[in-house]
Amino acid sequence: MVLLVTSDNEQFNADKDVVERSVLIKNMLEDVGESDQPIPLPNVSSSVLKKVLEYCEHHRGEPLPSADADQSQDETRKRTTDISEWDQKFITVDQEMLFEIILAANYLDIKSLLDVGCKTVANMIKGKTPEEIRKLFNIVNDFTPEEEAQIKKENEWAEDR
Amino acid sequence: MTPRTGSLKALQNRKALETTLRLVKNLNFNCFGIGCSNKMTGDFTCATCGKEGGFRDKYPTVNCAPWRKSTSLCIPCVKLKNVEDQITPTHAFLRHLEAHRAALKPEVNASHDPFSSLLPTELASRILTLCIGRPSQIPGPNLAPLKVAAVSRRWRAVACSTASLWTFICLRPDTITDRYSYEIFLKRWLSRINNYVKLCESIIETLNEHSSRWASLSLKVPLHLVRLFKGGPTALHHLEKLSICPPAHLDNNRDANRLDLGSPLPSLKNVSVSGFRLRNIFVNWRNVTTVSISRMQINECLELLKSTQHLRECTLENISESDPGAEDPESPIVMEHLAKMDVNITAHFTFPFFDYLILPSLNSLIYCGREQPLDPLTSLILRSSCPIRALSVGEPQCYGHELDLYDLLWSVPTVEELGLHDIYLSDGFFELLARPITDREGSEEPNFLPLLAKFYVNPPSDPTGFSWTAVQRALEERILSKIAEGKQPLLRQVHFEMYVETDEDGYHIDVAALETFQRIVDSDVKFGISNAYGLHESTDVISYSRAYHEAKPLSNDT
Repeated sequence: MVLLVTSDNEQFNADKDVVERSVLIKNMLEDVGESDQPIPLPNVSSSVLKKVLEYCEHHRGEPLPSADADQSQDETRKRTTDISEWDQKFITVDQEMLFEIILAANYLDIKSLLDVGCKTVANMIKGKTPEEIRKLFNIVNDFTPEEEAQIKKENEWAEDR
Repeated sequence: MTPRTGSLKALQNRKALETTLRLVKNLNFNCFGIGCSNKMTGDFTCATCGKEGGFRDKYPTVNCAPWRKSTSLCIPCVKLKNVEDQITPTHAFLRHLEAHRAALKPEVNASHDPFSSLLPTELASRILTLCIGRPSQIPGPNLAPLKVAAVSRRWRAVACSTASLWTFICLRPDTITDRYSYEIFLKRWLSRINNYVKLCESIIETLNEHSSRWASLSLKVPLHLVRLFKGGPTALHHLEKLSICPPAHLDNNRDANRLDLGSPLPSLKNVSVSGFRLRNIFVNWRNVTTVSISRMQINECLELLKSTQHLRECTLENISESDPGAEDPESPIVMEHLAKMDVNITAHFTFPFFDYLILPSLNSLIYCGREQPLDPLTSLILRSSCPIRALSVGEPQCYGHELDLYDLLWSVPTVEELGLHDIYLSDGFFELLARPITDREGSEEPNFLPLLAKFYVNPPSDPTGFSWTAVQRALEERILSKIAEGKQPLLRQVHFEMYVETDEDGYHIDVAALETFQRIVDSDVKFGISNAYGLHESTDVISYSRAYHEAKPLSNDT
């Protein structure tokens, strides 16, 4: 078992083969060797780590993606909407948690979870107009009127055919 | 204000002016009655930064030049001056507020937008790349890169610095009416991948420096980049395999590109090319043994065959008509070593390809020709006297041309494996199969597919043209009669892949045929009938037919 300590000082015990889905933790364990020392995760809160461990537990034993798995851009494009049913349910969380999971996956270096998070956000954006995207993320249009006019002109020309 | 004269008229004028000024003042306050703190002196107070007044630095001067000379302003000029006095500082105040607004909006986004406040650029960039589906066609709808670049300044900055968003583009110059705008747009789009293209070129240059060690060159790049691959000063002695397969949508300039790997020409064994003019590939074809070609013209394929006399395997896909004026071969092309050929024709014209060939060693032929006549293929086989052992035929012009299929099959007595795909078959075919095979020497009666060992049928999804009874008779003769004689049947593997709807003939197997088929299933022969229609849980026609008859023991055969 491995003891993990979150940014809000909560402790989590998890199986080694579960937490080793995180390349960061795996490397840390390799560096530390056999030890009962808790592993501090200052960038991950307890609520997020709980979700991350849930993901790792479910995917326990699955082969880890190779380092060059995301090299093929073409493949990445094709796979955009390709999220498994369980992962889709798992990632159905509010926006704040979604982005926290993405950041945690990035920090902990869990490629498959990062992939699921990024694809989910991408799917939220896909097919929407700029205004719809702004609404989705509470974004304010901060272009100057001149920039706005320029972008509008460019996009109208390219799209309105 | 002191009146210059003591006249009654002057006094009246002064009173009138004072009344007007008071009225205008009130009127203006009413007009701008939106909570404005203007006190007619330009002393606005900015609620954001607390700045007071100071917004009336550049008042315009009201020039009063009435036709009658007077030392004082006329009433309309006083009114106008009053209004101008308010407009100018109001405008200035508005500009001041707008500047605040412009500065505040990114700050708002910094706390609202996860792309600004949370995600590092590389993650934001990754997500935007995932938003891009198929390559954008321009002009066209749903240009995802443009959409995400129009959300906010931060999004635009991320999008414009994400080269992969701009590396795929499909242009439609035929629809362009405004050429100037088109060019500007294109330059702007491509400028975002400029470094990327340069990077590609520098990578290819580095690769070229090591070309003497290439053993297999596989190019999955846009065709215009193919020309950048060049052999170095040393010959490419190790290169045996070449593949040029550009990504879809980026391969439409096949004429203007060439692949010249230097001199002496590399001698290849395995070549795979899609959508590239063969005449623009400078290699030594003489020792090529395996070729896979797609999206070429007939004359190019024939030229290729002429140049590759040691060819053993050949795959030709999506072959199109020759350009007008292309010359036909003067003499037949004899391919002594060609043993395996896979030809897939999707064109809707008669395909004269086979007429020029003689293939004496051909033993495996996979042919798929949408609505193509079969007689050129039969002629080729007869002309070549080739020992075909494996034959697969798909989608030829067979409905109403079944005799052509029979002619073809009569011409291949050596066939051991036969596949018939999307071909209309009637009982006539199975009656031929049901004919007893005679092995008497000197018999003039030819045998129909006497060596058939594996048989695969995949009829079109129309109602089945044959009856299960006919199939039953054929299989009884080919399999069960041999087993009854204590012999091993030659036919060892049979599979029917059907697509029959519930209410169509052939959906259920009749009881008599079912019994025969069950006996075959119980023997060592691999036998199966599947239905891809899929309304049943089971796609095994034998299983569901048996269940159907067991549930309805008194029903008539279907």
